[in-house]
Amino acid sequence: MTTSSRTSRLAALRWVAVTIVAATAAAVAPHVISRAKPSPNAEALSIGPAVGMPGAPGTSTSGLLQRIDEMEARLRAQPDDTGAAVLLADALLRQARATNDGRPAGRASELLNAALKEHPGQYDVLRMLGAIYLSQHRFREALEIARRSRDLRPDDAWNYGVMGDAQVELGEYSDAFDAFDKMMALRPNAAAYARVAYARELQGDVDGALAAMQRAAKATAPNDPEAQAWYAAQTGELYLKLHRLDDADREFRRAVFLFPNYPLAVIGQGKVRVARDDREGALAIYLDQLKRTPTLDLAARIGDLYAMRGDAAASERYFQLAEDLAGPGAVQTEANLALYLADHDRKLSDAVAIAETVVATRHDIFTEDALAWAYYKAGRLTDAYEASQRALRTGTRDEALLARAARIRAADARGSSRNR
Amino acid sequence: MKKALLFASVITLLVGFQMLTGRASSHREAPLISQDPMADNTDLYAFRSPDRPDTVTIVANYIPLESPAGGPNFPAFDDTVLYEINVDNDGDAREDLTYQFRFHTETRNPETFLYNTGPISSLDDPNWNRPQTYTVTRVEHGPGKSERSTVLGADLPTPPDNIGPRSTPNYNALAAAAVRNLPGGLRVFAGQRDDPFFVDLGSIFDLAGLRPFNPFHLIPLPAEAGRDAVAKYNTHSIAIQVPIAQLVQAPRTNIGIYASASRQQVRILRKDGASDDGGPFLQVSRLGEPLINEVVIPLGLKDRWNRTDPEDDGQFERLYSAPEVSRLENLLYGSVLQPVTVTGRTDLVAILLTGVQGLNFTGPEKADLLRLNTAVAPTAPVGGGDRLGVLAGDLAGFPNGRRLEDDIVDIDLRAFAEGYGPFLNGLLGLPNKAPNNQLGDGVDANDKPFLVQFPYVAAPHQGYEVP
Repeated sequence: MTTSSRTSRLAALRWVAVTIVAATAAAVAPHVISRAKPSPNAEALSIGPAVGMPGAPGTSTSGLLQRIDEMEARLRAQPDDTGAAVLLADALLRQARATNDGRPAGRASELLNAALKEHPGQYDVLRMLGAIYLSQHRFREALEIARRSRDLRPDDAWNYGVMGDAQVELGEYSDAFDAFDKMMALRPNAAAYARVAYARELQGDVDGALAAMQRAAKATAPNDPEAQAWYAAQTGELYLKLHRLDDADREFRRAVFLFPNYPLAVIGQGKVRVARDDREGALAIYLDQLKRTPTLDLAARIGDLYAMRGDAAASERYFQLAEDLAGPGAVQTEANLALYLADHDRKLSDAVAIAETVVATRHDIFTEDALAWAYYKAGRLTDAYEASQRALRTGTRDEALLARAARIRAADARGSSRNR
Repeated sequence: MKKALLFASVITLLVGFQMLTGRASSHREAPLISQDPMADNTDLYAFRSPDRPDTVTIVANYIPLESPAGGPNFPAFDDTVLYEINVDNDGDAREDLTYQFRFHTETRNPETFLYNTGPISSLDDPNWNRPQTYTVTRVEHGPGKSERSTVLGADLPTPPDNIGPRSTPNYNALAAAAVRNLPGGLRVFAGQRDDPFFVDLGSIFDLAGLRPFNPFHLIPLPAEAGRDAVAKYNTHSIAIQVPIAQLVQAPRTNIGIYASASRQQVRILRKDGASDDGGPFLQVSRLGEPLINEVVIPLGLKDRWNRTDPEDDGQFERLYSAPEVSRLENLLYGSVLQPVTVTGRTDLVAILLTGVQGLNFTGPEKADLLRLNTAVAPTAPVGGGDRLGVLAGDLAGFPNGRRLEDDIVDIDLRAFAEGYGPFLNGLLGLPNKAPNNQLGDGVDANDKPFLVQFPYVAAPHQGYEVP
């Protein structure tokens, strides 16, 4: 074979590889013969079915591991395989959610950024990177990436989901809800229903949120137990908010049946026990779960339960653990540490400083609520009142948030330190 | 002491764990998944029923590649999806008749999450915890946007999925009990079936390889027999048998059919705080001719194409007249094939978008519909027709409607390569390039024989047998 014919043959093969291999791609359908045609704006790479979809392993613990192993192997064999990188990132994102561990998302972010260096503007990489950034609480970056991705493919509902999720976290609710409506207009599916559910909940419509979340659960693929567990756990949380404890418990049990040890659902089962005054039962669940997913939230819940039991030493140990888990040095992307500190009358000046730092980057109602509570505990009633009003602006019916707002309002009225 | 130890072990476990602050209560991790298998059409078939030749049988399949051992969450139709079979009988590419299917799943015992708690010996067996029933509605579309809806049947049973000899003994009896007659001579079935499609996906995904033609590929390999990648997979079928007289508008005999799945749009803000979940349905998947979504429509257009009604398909015509598949055939098999024309392919436009004059032409409107001339009598019992259909002179087969046994992959490969065979060359003057007229993936038939009676599609593979 001459060099030139070899070169042209390789060139031809490369074209085939980009186009057809790709065809393996979107293979949602069971029989794909085709190829993907690069769109004029974006190098389109169809990359095969995502984990949990027909033709791919399911999203059980073992299915996720299988998918991750397969894609790691593909990448080892061909480091330039961006399709494998995207599918691997997708599986890692699921694993991060199912284990509450941030490392898989970190690995996914590295993979995709490396792929983008090789193939700047590669569409599938970009769109997945937005979702990974969300998982990493890099909301501004997620929003920026999703907008770029949206500009490349204005018809892809996914991008509006990422944009809206980021905007919700940043407190840009009007834009977020517009994005969710656009997502629904383009492609009603489980992902869109779940976002409508959250938007409704934020605005105080818990019944409406429940209806939409149940619809999302029904619309989820049978081979995707991870997503099913997520929807079931969220449904359980909504039932909790409605004080329907039996229903909540059933949904949390369903989630654990579908995906054993699913963190959201296990913790939900603990919450049901707390609501039923079964503190020992809750404590056992939380202590067990803490071994698997050590979080500030869990350690604080355990500390609270020990405190209620009158075990001050154990309580303090877990409160200290909660602080340790949140830092030191960890970048605070949300105000839950501030809220925890304020709630437990610990390091109140730190609480204010942390909340102020976070609120400089985002204005969602939960950050404003944490800021308000920190101000309140620090005796800054005017600031507390103003932040609290901002926390109420969507009309949420979150009971803990409303209770704090009521305390702040009462104190503010008594002190009348605010200029009216 | 014990507690201290426990605590120490907790701390030990923390090493290396990267906490995600606040994850436990976060909503932001909502799944982002584009694919939607329960609202995904996989195939559509339409043929005159050989055992009841005064009727047409239409089979619309949904949910791709169901693994038979797919528990504990066995696949089912989605209660929130609107499944439809649409029929155009006056040639304007708009549906005149629609058969709508809506499903309802009952949970007999909410305290167990199991599919069944003992053997399912009948369709009303209390051991079956998640029975699904459905309603069939006929919608007649009149002038303008007027519609007249008639419920043809309600609370119709579906069979369970085929799980294994303990859970679903006597499966065929269960499935047979789910075949129902409706007033007006209609017959319906909805439930899990063997996926009747057959194709060598493994090879085709490997740079469009066709095992029998391996030596002639740009990257040659030894020739091999084809392997059916859809073998041992199940799907969910909606089958309906309708008297021809109810489908056609005499004297026309030709009809155009497409199946679709639609999901309801749900708004964030509810008007009255209670019941504003009844937004409009948006079509998220459709299927008329086989393989169009896979072979003709490029990735970036798939969502839009699926949302589009066939009457607006004129915008996609260039994808048919200058098809990528034909270019690929030249590129990959150029060493053996006669060069394939890659532009101005009016033959493909006719076959796939308007129907063929004298056979199944429905009108000049370009639309992706499966077109059936109901005046052509069945030529064989189900499964007995020539797999190459009209290419082999069997006018009761594809592209005149589509039978279960029609070998769509080989027919398409040959048609896109202008290897139409001697019959169509003689009848219509279509090109018959050789050896283009021999192309195929080497998989010529389904892995399971079809049934000779409605619903004709073979029983699903059993999870116990096909792990």
